Amino acid sequence: MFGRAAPGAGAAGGTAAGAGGYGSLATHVGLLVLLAGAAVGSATGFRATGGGMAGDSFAVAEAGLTIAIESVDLEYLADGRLRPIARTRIAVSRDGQAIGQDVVSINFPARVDGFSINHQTFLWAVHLVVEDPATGERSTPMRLVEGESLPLDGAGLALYFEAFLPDFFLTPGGEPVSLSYYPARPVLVGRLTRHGRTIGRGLLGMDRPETIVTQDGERLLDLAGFENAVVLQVARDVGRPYVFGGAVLMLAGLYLSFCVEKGGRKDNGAPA
Amino acid sequence: MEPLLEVTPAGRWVESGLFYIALGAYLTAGFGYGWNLLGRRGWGAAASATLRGAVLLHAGFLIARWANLGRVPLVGHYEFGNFLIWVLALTYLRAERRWPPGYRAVGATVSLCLAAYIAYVTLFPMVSSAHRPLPPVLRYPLWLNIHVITSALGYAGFSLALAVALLWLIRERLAGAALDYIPDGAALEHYLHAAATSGFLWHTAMIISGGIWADAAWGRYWGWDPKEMWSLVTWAVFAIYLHARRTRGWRGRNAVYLVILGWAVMLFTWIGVAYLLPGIHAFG
Repeated sequence: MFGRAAPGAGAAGGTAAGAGGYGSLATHVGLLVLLAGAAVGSATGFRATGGGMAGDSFAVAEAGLTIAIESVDLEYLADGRLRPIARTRIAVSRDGQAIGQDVVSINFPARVDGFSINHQTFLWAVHLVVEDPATGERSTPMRLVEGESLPLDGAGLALYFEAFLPDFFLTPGGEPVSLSYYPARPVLVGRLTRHGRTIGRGLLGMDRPETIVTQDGERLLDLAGFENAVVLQVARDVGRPYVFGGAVLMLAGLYLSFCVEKGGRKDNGAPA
Repeated sequence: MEPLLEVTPAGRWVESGLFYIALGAYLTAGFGYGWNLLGRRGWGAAASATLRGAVLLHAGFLIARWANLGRVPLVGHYEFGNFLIWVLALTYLRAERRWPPGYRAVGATVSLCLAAYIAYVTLFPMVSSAHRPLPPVLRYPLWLNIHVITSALGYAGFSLALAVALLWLIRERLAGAALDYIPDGAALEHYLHAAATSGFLWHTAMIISGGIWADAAWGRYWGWDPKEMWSLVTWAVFAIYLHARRTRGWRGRNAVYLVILGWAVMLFTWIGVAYLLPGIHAFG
């Protein structure tokens, strides 16, 4: 743990010769390999993001890959009071040929054919149905992800999906919050906008349609369901093994430099 | 709403009881080392024994908290601060056993450092001792433990180097006085280098383990996060010190000042960054 050379020794716990000397060499070569690996990885690698919901797929043009999202499951933590862990089952293909299948979650990326696929975040997506009360005609469910808008008429009226509250609660001050991530009382918080300007804010609960007056007449907006969308990162970094290899070499070199004396013996010297 | 873990009253009582008794023992040992530095050499051995007791009691606290949390207590400033205090005391005791008896003079300045860290975890209002569950990103025990333990070992090495540097300055200030019980400048310089070297090795291991973990968690081994940046700055300052010593033969005051600067940067990396430059390392 400690350098153990006698006081006044020139080298750090050793001498320029022997293990200490090799250690210095290994440290600096390791650092160079690390930096070279980082430079090569940065110059030749790529990093792209994509995502969707179960059943969706997205293409990664840089890699010629298609990633199909087969399922997204949430593991609730601390009774839903902590952000859940999202586990995404993916299938990776190139030119229509399947090349891999794995489950991706935070801390546990998929490594497929030299590509790393990492979980980045998950979002809530809702299924909205718009009904014309005059005719009873209902639209097919439209999926909307947090941060997206749904046009409601031809005059610039839209519903902006501000937030999804899985466990809705109204504070005494009238502020809608979610008590947990567990979807016990799901509610959509939305803003009605016209040409991008907010004209109203409201809540939409499950199977409790709200009436909205549009240019084309009244419309019933129904929150019919919800699910999770995930954002994944796809990356290739050919320098990565060199970065980690260089780092390990550097650490070994530091150990040799500082903890092993000339001739490879561990030094037990103490100040005179 | 902040989620908290349920802890039994008995578990809480044992944990806080051991914590305060250990803190008392640390402070008592500090007084003993102080007397030893002032020339009452008989106090040195008693202080050393008391510090050993404090480390045992503090280990009991860490185990009790571990049991209460259901995980190793290494997350957040309260838990990391406690672990660092424990590791620093242990690192010092290990050095005390290795070096000649005069090394006990370092115990006084180490105790100052321990007292400062104890004050931070007990008195600073933003340091919470609440029992929190781990967020998803930290639920990777292997790398969490390796990364944080190497981090604490690195900080402990740098803190021990600071303690030796302070003693070096005290000795220089009191030049001419009868200081035969304090190691001479050359020996202190050697202890300084040994502690800084230890810190540097572990700090390097901490950065590397962090990179490996970040690659798994976030898909990149380096993200220019403030904590990463300042860890690198800390590493660079000590790398400069080690190079300056080896290639330029830096000894004495310049080396001491450089080590003190390195410790100050380390302190900013640990505490300052969390409050002034929060980033993805903001875990509480």
